[in-house]
Amino acid sequence: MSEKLLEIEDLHVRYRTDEAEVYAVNGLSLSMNKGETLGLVGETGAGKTTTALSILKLLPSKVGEITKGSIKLDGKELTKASEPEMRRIRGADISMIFQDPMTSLNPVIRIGDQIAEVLELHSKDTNRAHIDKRVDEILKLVGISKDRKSDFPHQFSGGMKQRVVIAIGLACEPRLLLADEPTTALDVTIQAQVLEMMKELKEKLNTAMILITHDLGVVAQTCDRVAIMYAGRIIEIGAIKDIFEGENHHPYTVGLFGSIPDLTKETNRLSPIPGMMPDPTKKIPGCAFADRCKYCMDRCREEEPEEYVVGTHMIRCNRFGAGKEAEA
Amino acid sequence: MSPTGSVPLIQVKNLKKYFRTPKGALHAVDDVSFLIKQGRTLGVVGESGCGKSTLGRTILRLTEATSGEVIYGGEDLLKFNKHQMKEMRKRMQIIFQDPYASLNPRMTVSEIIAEPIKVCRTLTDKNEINNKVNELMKTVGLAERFVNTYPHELDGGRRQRIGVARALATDPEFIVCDEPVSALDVSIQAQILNLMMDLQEERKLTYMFITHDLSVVKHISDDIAVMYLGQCVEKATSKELFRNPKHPYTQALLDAIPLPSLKEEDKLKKVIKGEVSSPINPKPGCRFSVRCPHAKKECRERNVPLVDQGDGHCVACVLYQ
Amino acid sequence: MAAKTASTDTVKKRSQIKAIWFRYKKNKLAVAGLILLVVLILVAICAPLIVPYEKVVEQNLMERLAPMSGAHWFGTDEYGRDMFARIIWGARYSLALGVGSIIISLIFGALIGAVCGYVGGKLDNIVMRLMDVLLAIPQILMAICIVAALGQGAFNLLIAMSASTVPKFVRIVRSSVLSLKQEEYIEAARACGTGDGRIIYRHVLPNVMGPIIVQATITMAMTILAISSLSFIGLGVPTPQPEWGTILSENKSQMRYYPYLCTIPGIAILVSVIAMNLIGDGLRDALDPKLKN
Repeated sequence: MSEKLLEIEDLHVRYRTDEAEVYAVNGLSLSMNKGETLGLVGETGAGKTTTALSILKLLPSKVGEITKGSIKLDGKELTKASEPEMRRIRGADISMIFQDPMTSLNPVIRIGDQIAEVLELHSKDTNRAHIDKRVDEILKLVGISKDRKSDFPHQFSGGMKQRVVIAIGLACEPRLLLADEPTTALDVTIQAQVLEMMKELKEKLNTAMILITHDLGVVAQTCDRVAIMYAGRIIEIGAIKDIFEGENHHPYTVGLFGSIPDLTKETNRLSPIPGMMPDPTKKIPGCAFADRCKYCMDRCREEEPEEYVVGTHMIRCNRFGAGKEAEA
Repeated sequence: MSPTGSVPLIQVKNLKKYFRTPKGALHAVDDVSFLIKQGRTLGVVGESGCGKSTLGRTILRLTEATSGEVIYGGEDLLKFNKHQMKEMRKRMQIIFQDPYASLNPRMTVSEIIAEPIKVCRTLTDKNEINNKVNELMKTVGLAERFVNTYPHELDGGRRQRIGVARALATDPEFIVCDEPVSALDVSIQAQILNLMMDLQEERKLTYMFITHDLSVVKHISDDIAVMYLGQCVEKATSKELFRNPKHPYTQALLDAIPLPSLKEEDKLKKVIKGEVSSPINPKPGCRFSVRCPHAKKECRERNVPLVDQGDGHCVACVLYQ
Repeated sequence: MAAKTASTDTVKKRSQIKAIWFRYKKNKLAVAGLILLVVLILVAICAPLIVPYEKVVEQNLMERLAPMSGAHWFGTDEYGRDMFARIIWGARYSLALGVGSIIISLIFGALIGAVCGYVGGKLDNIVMRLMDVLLAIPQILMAICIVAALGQGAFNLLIAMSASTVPKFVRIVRSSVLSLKQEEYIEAARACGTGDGRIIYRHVLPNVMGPIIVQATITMAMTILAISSLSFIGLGVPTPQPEWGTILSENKSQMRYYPYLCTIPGIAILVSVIAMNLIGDGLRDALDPKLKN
């Protein structure tokens, strides 16, 4: 096994609003190897984006707060890093791509200058010619002709804009790229183009990536490992084979797969998960999925299920491992 | 009433909608014809900017068509006057994509659902309206305790249920569904899709289901029309289209979907190059020819009509003329 | 937030006003502004209970320019009229004129703006160019022209002030309506066959109330100031009616030896303007539900 790049241990994140405290992430642990692509899958409100923002320490100030846990990048503790330190890390070591390419580019700055800006901020070499050369290289990497670097964002289509955003994210060759739904806003044919490009880039640059998405199809086509999140916890994680072809699954994962209309099979009715995500303002003593789970046992409501690990595959459910024996 | 599936409920003939822009005419919908039978679902698929939403709005006369006919119950809707149209609106409704933007934030759930009833005066008695609202909420699976909440207090799935209830309020027979599940999470999306299919069965509804999501459209539709830059490029029954996609664009669309499977045959296939060109003053000829791997000289020279290949499978491509 | 309502099992109508008040009261300055305004309004309403009107106009040359004392809290002016009574009763004129003119211009402005924005086309073009012309003339100058044409008096002043603030409201309402018009819920209303009138009053206007109210409070502060300015130059409320600006104007010759005669009405104007501005600021934040903190 290669070296660990990112280790998250028992992360808790809380948002404080006028009305209530929202527990967005509740005890998330995760580790990632160098050069690996991890798919972070879950529905709205599962805490995917919050996790990514915590890694970058970009949680909305005064509202969002890491209450517990540690995040280590290459052994360096990020939760205790100061703001200037974090600023040096952002963009250079870890960068983030946001969902909407329309709003993540500054509309009044030429795209070449936007890429150059990241380079200027993080590299010691401030020679204008070198930076220009590097901008051309990066644009070529994401498949944009260098003649277009003096164009403004509005002159690009959605797919091209997302390429520019990815170019900015990759400009300093970060060790970790956080991609928050990078293709959700794009059309299928354009999405396919961008996914293909990202795959190629990953192989070329050996950048580790956390791909946040709700689309299991995208995950299957791009990731090495998959983590399924529910109510601020990882309820199942494993190599892509474990999740898509493994035998045992968390009931939520099963429900998630059952909700997608299958293109290859004829189905009359979908089998969605009944109910909704639990109230994030309440602390749940046991398994967060208990209320919607058809296998729910008494002990599920009392204590958080143990991890059940087989090889690379972890399921946090009482139906398996120690929990199963206890019930029997 | 005649048995479902045999009688055409709505027939669109050569519908065109051009928008005037400073750069020229934007061909949002360009000569589209189709027919939806009673109790069936027509899926309209295409990428953003292909005119599928405009098509739905033009049929409902939310935007006025440039030319063409929309025959509904033997009469041309586009020739109706204001009063006739108002009567007609009871029978045809729309469900919108964005459950956040499509509900008035200053009205409570019950007010939103009651509004079409009040406007169309299908019921006038206050108690009757209240009963109807409660009944509708039950139909779409909204708990009664939400009557007085405001939409922003609810999640996307529940909001979309309000949108469905509002569309059902006047007991319509035809509903245009404009990407009703695109903004929802997969598990909620499945709940809403099931709800819509149940409603269709119970109330013998006819849907025109607009979406960009091929797996959703396959699931819900009986027939599918694929649109590209304002034109319908392929039309077939759902089964036929997925089993035997003929138009190169349909094939490209199907190949581009990332499937949640690791099998070798499900891997992303060769990705189609290029992007959708501008719908403003399009050049004559097949509009997909710029991106098409099979494009010939002929494609750019003449307009390619939809040609029936037998069994109602229509394709607009020189390969099948 | 969604899940939260899901867990409450009661049918309750949580009014939006309550939510707005909840956000509003977090802003301490805004609450102070509101208290000031309430006090001013109470004073204006209860003026007859505090001092009888006779005291406002009663001239007592024996006591002219008396200093502040137990009998005359704010002293007397050069005609021996009790300043305290005049300031108290002045609140009636200043506030009533301010509030009245805002209400009038609000109604007209909202109506014209909503129709222009919603209907669009030629009507919109013509009306908006007209409004541009009106906006190009400074408010006070236009008010002077109108008063000069119609003649002096409280009622004409009201008309002048309203007419000169209407274009502002038209602009704000129109631009809000233009952006609202694209909203899907307006389209949904049209899909049900809702007529234009009902769409405007039921779907459009309630949703533009926020920016309108904020603009109204801030414009009201400016209007009170403008009314006082007009009175000061002799085009406003004529003496002996006790408008604050009028009082200020009457006493300007005494400024050198009896500065408080000018300072006190000045402070009254200042307080009401500050109160309105603070309220406007507070409302702007409170009416935006997206601002959670």
